[in-house]
Amino acid sequence: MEEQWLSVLAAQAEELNVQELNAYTGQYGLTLSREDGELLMQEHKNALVRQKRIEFGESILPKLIYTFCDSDYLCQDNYVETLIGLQEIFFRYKNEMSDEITDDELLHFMKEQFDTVCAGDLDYLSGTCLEVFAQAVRAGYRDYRKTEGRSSYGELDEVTRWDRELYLEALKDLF
Amino acid sequence: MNITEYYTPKELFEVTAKLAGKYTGHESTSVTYEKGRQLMEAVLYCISEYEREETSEICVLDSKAGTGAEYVYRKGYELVVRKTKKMLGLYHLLLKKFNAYGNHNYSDTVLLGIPEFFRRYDARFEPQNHILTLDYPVLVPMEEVRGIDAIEQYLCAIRLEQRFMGAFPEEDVRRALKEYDPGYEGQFYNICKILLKNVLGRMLTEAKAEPDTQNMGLLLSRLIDRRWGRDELMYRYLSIPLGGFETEYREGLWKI
Repeated sequence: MEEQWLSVLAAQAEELNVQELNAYTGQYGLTLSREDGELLMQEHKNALVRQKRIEFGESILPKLIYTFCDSDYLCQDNYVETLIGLQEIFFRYKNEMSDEITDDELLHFMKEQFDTVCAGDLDYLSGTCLEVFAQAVRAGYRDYRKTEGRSSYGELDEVTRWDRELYLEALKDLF
Repeated sequence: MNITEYYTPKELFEVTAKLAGKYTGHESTSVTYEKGRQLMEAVLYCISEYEREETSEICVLDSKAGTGAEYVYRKGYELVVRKTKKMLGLYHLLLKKFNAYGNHNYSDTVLLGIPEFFRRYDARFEPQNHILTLDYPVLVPMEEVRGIDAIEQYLCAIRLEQRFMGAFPEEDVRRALKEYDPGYEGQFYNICKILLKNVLGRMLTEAKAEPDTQNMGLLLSRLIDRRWGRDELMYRYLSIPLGGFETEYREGLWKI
């Protein structure tokens, strides 16, 4: 049965509408070529197989692109590579959280951490923030639902971080 | 008929996709392989259910029109729901006069286990799973049936057993069970079979008949006719262990 699904999926694979995506992401200096689109779809399929997940309808890839395209840590040079990494992480953590989290909640969380605590570092996003978050979700933490995944890392973060006001004060003292 | 030969994988996939959307509340674009397999099996189960009930009508549906698998699945699901309600009604009727004759496994399975099934059975997303292990063994094999069909077969078997055992005074039933095994209350075998063997043993002695399957079948048939009138279902159910009884006699394990 699995082999039949995979062959149906392979036959059904939608093409990524790069034109439509570029029309939006272009304002952030990010565009995909047709080859980039094909590569992303192939990597998308590979990620699904690696994570043993199946998409029954629309792909998460466009939504992932729309979510991350305004990040300060994305530029044309790292655009495709980062998207490939993000979708792998996305599917991995849907599994790690046993599908307790919706697509939107996970995307919001990932974007927020990617832009702040992780400073665009995928390894930090996957190995620290999401790891901690996933553990909390598996243990029953559900507060993220109130905010759709936003502002959910603060109370879980194990690292003492600089408070913005304190940081500015410390800078003033130094100089 | 093999469903997967009649409907294309693409058709079945599309029906499963709709079910997956309902399952995730349209809040996830993907599910695990395991969940996908479960949902696909749910679709196949409902389609099978419909095909068992209907006959030639199903074969005329034009799958090229794109409504074949979807229509059949929907009808099959409605059947599953109807059957579940029917079984709940049957269970409540059964409860009115249910007697486990002191056997804990029998009472636990019927009085505690079966209600758990009705509480947890998921007719939409997992109709193929009957959840329970059905520890009290009935005389019909249960390996081939799943989901609500398994519960239907099981409850029908329990009902037949209760009708048979209920025809005898309770103290006689308990005495026969205790004679067989003083510790029968804590055991995990079928107690109806024990009583049946006891009753047939006495009838064979009275009739001075050889304990072969044919004679036992005749005596059983006469017993059923006398007590309940022609009841083909009860005869078929209670004649299941007769071959085993004959073997036990020939091996010296059953002394009449």
